[in-house]
Parts: sequence; structure tokens; C-alpha cells
Amino acid sequence: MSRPHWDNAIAHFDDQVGTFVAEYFGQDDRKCLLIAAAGFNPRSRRVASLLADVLGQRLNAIFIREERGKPDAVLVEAADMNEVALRKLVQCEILKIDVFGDDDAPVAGSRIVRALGTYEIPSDVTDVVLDMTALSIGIGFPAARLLLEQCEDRANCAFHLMIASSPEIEDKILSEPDSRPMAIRGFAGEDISSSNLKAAKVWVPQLAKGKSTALSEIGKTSGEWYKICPIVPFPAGEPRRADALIDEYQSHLVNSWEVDPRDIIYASERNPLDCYWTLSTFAKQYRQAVTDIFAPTIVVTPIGSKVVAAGALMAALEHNLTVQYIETVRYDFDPTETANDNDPEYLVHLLLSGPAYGDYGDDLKPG
Amino acid sequence: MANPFLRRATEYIRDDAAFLAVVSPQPLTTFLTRHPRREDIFNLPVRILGAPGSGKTMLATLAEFRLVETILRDQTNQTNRELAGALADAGFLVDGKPRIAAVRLPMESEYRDFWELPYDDTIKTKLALWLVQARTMLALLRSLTAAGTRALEDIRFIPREASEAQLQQIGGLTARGIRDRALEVQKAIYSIGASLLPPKLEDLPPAATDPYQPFESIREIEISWMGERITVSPLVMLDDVHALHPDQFKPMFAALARREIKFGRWMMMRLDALSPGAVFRSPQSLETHNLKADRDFIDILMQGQGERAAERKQFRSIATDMANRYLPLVQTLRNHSHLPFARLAPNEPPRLPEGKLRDLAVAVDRTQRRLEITKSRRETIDGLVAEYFAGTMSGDKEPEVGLAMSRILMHRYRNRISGMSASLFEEFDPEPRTKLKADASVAEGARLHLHEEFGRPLHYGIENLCDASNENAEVFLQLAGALVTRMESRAIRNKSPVLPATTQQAALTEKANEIMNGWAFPFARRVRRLVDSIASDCRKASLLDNARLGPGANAIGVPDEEIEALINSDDELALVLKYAIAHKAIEIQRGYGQGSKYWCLIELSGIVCLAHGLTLKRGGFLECNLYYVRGKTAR
Repeated sequence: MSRPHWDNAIAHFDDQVGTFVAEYFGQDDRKCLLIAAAGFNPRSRRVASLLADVLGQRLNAIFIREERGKPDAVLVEAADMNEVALRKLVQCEILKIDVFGDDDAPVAGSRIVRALGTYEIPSDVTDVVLDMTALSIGIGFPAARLLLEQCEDRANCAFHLMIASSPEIEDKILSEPDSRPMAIRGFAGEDISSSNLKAAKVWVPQLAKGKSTALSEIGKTSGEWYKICPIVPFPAGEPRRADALIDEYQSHLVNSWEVDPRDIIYASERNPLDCYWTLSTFAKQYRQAVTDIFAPTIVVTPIGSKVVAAGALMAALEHNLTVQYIETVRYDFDPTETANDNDPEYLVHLLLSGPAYGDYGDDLKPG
Repeated sequence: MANPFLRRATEYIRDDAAFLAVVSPQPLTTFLTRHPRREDIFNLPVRILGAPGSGKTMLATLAEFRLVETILRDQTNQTNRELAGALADAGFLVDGKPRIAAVRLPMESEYRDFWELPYDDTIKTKLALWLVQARTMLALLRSLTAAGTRALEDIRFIPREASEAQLQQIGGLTARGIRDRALEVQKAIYSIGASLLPPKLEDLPPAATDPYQPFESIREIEISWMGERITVSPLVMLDDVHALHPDQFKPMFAALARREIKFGRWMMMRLDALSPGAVFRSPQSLETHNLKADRDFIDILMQGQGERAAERKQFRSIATDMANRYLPLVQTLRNHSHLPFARLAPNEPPRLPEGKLRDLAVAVDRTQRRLEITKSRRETIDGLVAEYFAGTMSGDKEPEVGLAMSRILMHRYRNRISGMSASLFEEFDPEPRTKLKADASVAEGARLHLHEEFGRPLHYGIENLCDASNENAEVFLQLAGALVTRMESRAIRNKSPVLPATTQQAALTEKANEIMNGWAFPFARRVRRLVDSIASDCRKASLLDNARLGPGANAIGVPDEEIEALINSDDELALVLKYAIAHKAIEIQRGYGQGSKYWCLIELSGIVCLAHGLTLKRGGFLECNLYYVRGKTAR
């Protein structure tokens, strides 16, 4: 489905988000459904409390608890505390999703789709907000696709994405990856098996601190990459973050992936639309360039900052890209860790669909 | 400039020519040609079991028809001739022509996802099995036409006897018909698997549910080959089948094991992906779904199939061959590419500088005085050492090793006579009840002591490099890559790229630490704590003055019954150990008999031994229990 309004998507950042929430959700006829994670992440409550302060009784929520086998007891305790706090804040229901099956295979995507697929959004809901802050992408991406499509099918329901991101805190959350790379449910991409042309697969991995093992495993799945174009965060709160990542991944970039330095993609750490626009332009131009020569496939792996991942999500939805990832078996994090005062914290709001766009882009459609 | 050793996996090699330049035919010879059931591996189902990095994918890729054709088309090339020889020995060629048309099919998580669909188990199994068959047929046709030497019209499928009724469902016997039908099936099933919300059972497309069994219907394929018609037997190599759900694998395996199938089918799987119980036990004890190994299917074990010392020796030959093939691809070393890897990382022993050697001699004399060893006893001990040096084949007979050996033997002598009473009138120099012996284990202990005292290199030379890799090709290439990087630096500075032992030791220790610091797998931090603690205790025990454990320890022993109880429990510790084994931090040796007890040895991997300066020789262990392990892995 084409969404031309995303070229000029409505977005708010940091303080603007508070203003937008107060003005938009402050309207009495707004009734909102929030879908978010009730995990150990210290920022789990950020978006919920922002909305609850304005919406009060007009806010309902579904909080997702991602159940991962045998997690660290300290993290379970932190998640329990967040859940209790969220219950006090909003009328909600808690949805427990098993991330792994009884054979330890990652099944989060199928399980969230099964759970949300049967959920009927109440007819009086005017806005659905997906808070991706603490959702893993194996759950967040299928949920986003499902909710977006449900909202688009209704005339008067808007779909929003919100993220509270602190790259410094995200760097401190260590994840222990599973060994099975896979496409996210609903993001398997185009089937090019019937093409007579040779496949030319381009892989776009988002470089993130401490994720080299996971990215290396994902990279091995294809066999033959035509090109590998890593994403690094720039501009970023810490201007040297991209350099540090290139240094960390030096051996992979040079020896395994043989990345041409001209193929590195720079995406803003603060603005998801920057990543979306870049990937979108890239997808269009790449397809144009190889038409009738190769069967193009683009695989993205957004396993770092959620802000950049949101941009990758939009590009994947728009261009039917494959999203390949590796599930996290366990997290290791000290929940008492908080961001330093000097560390940037980004708050992002994106309006992906809804009456606000009216007939935007209709005149651009053929016919 | 890229260092091909550090590429990490052959999966990253982008074209066939580059792959053929580095691929070693040794695994073909070792695991297939020498397999006792070599004649049956193309008829019966085969399970190929190995750890990650053991070379399963490399072996399968080399056997693919696409590459076999590339190899046979250019026999002027020495590498290709060698590969063709190995392929022929393994049964892939006959009279210089292909006999097998093999394709590798990665069993990605996509197939496991079918198990999550809201349908009956038989429907879910059917969908996955038919998708496998459709993709195999497409891959086979792509492979047969890849070289551009034959068109679809030049390919004809030969049916199995009494399968005429099934021909319609697979699209007939022409390549075009079979391709079109396979495309139809794959497209229909892919759309179900890839959809966000699966369709209702009644809405499944007929192309996905109509019978489709090319594996049962096809016996051989007739193709054009350099101006003549030949027949080849089809073979599918399903890679990473462990990704399937066990309940999904069971019926699929049973379906593929049917005797009437003439289509070769190999299933490659990783041991570590299985339950902790299976990882701790031998591969033979894996579930076999009422099918008997050797009768209904054949197992090829890429690790753990034989005597460990023999396996180590076998790996040395595979690894050396690999290193010699990679070396000419290193641009910086082009001028030295005629040298084999072993010459660039020689086994030449290090030698202590004169000053340090004098210090050592003084220290040994001091020990002699402190232990009240008589002059004549010292001479006897020195004589034992000289005798050992004269008879040993070991290259490391440097004077410092001799001195350190004498010191160890003096300590042993003192211990052995400690219970004897001294005479008031004679010099106290009794013969010990157990005679002193200078042998290889004392020499190795002496080298370890020198490593501790003077930083004298302990790990150098190709053999140590291979042993430190724990028979794992990927680890070997990583370690060898670290040495190659140092060789390149020297070559760029116009120095000889041959690495002295000191440089080899430094590079290997640094790389081992880098690998350990990069561990990112479940319970990695707890595993790290465990191996660091074991290593520290082993090092302390190894450095005892009398080198009680000879070359030293690099393992702990836990009573076997305690491990058995752990496996059968729901204890998280079993999971921690499973991941430690899977990610090559430790190795397990069950049922090791010593001192009227059976032990489960938890051996530190070569990487950990390198990082902590421990011996790579096997056998030395500290007697512990599960309580120890639990304590070391606690948060």
C-alpha cells in the first residue's frame, strides 16, 4: 500500500511532544488505546504517564510482558514494579507473550499477531498509540503493521508511534542473542523465486554497540550479499558515536563484509524520518538501477536504537523490505542505572495514519 | 586490505572462484571417503552432525552440482584437479563425470514458523515438507543450468518405478513442467508463511494443499554433458535442520526416511542446538524416532566420532591445508606465498637471553641449597634431564628448559624422601622409593614455569595453533588470522614475515582475549566467570614447584553421577553449561575413569587456555564437584 503522506509525515520531537499531547489529546472527543511494553526498561513508563496525565479516563492500554525463559530475577523484579506502576496509571490489561517456544525457537512474532489479531479495537477509540520504547522489534514490528492496517481500515482512527530513547541507557542494556536469525513475522519481503533474474541482495544492518555477534550471524544467513550498507547514527548526541561503531566493527566491515566506505548509510539518531527517507530513496533508486538485470532484494536489520528502527519500519512497510533479526534470549542490565543529566534523551512522536492526512497524496496517485 | 583468514565464515565469500581457491577437500576425504558406509550415503538418509564452525556448510557447498561443474570444466588448474580427485573418491564423480547432482537447501527459521500456524499438525508438516521439495526442485534446476552449458530442454527427469501415478502432481518429467509446478507450490506456500495473519484453513490455496511429492517420484536426471547424455542421481542437503521444532522434525524425518525414495537426502544439524541432555551425552543417543541408525539412516559425525588424539591429528592436517590455501590470497604476503603457513609461524623454540638464563641458573642452585639436595644427587638429576634430551624428538631442548626440569625433579625428590629418617653420620641422600623420571610431561611443566617466571612463550607453531582451535575450523581461522595480521605488518615494514615465538604468543593471547571479551551468548557472563575461575585454579595447581600434574591442568573433574543428576533436573546450571559447550568455552568428556571413580571432565577450550597461559595438553584435571561449579557460575 502506498502512503505518500509519509514523505511529509507529522512528527514531533522532545518538548514538542509534550505540547502536541496536551493540545491534541486534550480534546475531549479523543479516546486513546495505548499498546506498550511493561518491561524492566527504566523508560517503560515515560510515554504512558505522559498520555495518562492528559487523557485520564479516556486512555486504555494493553501492556505487553515479553516472557523470555529464565530471565534475571533482578530484571523480573524491575518489570513487576513497572507493571504495578502502570496499572495505577492507566486502566489496562496485561498481555503475556512467550518470546520462545517449548523448543526454544523464537516465536514472538506469531504469538503477538495471534494475540492482537483477535483483539477488536473498540469502535469509540479515535487514536491508537504504539509505544515502541521497550518493545523488542520481534514484537513491535508485527504489532505496528497489524495496528496500522487496522487503523487504516477505519475512517476515523489515527495511528501513532511514540518512542522515548536514551542511546546511553540502550548501550548499557546488554542482550544475549539467540543463534537463529529470522525474518520478522509479516516482514519476509518479496518472493523473488519466480524471477528469471539472478538475485542481488543488499543487506542494511544497523550497527549498534555490543551487537556484532548477532549481526555476524544474521549476515551469514544469505550467503551472497551483492552489497552490505551499514547504518551508523549521524547526526548523534555524541558526535563520535558513528566513529566508535566503525572502530568496534572494523574487522567485520573490512574482512567479512568487505564494505565499500561509500556504502555506509548515515541516519539521524533523533529523527526516524531521516532513516525512513534515506532507506526509501535507496530502495527506489536501487530497484530502478537493477531493473531487468537483477532481482533486487533489500534486507534491513534494525537492532540498535528504536528511533532509527522506527524509520526502518516505515521503509520496510512502504517498500515491502525483508526485516531480518535475531531474538534476544536474555538481557543483562542494572535497572538502577539512570541516564546522566548530560546524556541526551529523545522523545519522538510520529503520526502514521489518520484523518489528519485527509486526502493527502491522492492527486499523486495514477488515474 | 581484507584479511581472508578473518572472514569468519565461508558464507561471506561472494563468488565461486574465490570459494574454490580457499576450500579444502580434506573434509570430503575425512568424513565421506573414509566413512564405512560410503557406498550407501546417496541412497539412505544421512544425518551430518557437527558443532558450529565444524565445516558442514563448506562441505555441502563444495559438493553442490554448480561447483562440481565449475571444477570439472577447468581441469588445467591444479586446485581444481585436487578437488575433482577428492570429489571422485567421495563418490560424487565417476570416470571424471558427475554422478550426483547435489543442492544445498538452508532450513531457515521460516520452516519452523509453519509450526506456529493455526492448523492441524499434519497440514503444517505437509506445508513445510512440500515447500522443501518445491525449493529443492527449483534449486536443482538452477544448479543444472547455472553454467549456461545446458538449457531446460536438455534436462529430463527419470521416474522411480511404479511412480507413474504421481507424475502428474509434480508437473511431468520435463524440466519446464517440473519448474512451473514447483514455482506454483512454492509461491502458494510462501504466501501462507509470509503473511502477517495466516489464512483460514478453508482458504488455503489448492496449489499449497494438493499432493506434491517429487522426492518419491524421481529416481535420476538425464542431462547433457560435454556433448553426450549422462544420468545423475539427485541429492538434497538440508542444512541446519535442527531449526525445526522436534515435533515437526519427527514426521518430516520419517517421511524422508521412506525406503522407496531414491532421491538422496542429507540432513545437517548442530549438536548444540539440542537439549542439554543431548549435548552432554554422545550424539549416538539422539532420538531416532523409531528408526535405527545404520539400518534406516546413516550418521556422519564431524566431531566426537573417534579417539580424541586421532581427531586432533586429523584436524591438524585439515587446518594446515586450509591455511596454505588462504595464504596466497593475502595481498601483502604475495612475495612470500610460496612458503607454507607452518614456515611463517614456525615451531622454532624461543631462547632466554643470557642474563635471564644466568638468573635462572642462580635460582635453581639456590633451590638446591634450600632443599638440601646433595651435589651428587643434583648431578644424577641433571644426568636424567640430559638423557631425556638426548632421546627426545622434541625441538625445544633449550638450556633453560633443562634447568627448570632439574628444579622440578629436585622438588619431587625432596617430597619423595620426606618420610625417610636422616642419618646422623652420613650425608643424607637416600634413593627415593619411586624413582625420578625426566620425561615429556616434566619438560612441559618446566616450560609452563618458564612462561610464568620469564614470559617465555608457551604457545607457538602450527601444531599449538591447531590444538588451540579445538578441532573447529572457524576458530582456527580466527587465530591464524591474528598471526597473519602480524605477518602483514612485518612484510609492510620490509621485514621477514616469519614470526618469532614471542610474537606468535602475544598475537594468540591477544586474539584469545578478544574472542572471550566478545562472547555474547546466553549466560555469557556466568560462563566467563566459570572459565576464568577454573583457569585460575588450574594455573595455580600447574605452577606447583614439583609440577605434580606434569604439563599442568586445564580441566576440572566433577563426579559423573552428579552431572547425570543435573542433566535430568530442571536446573538452570545445565543450561549455562550447555551454552558454554555450544559456544566453545568448554568441552565435556563424560565417563573418564580415574581413582576408582568416573568423572565428567569440564575441559577449558583452547581459547581459554591461550588467554590464561595454560597447557593445551589434555588429561590434567582438578578434582571438584558440582558445588564448585555452581559457586563459580553464581551471580
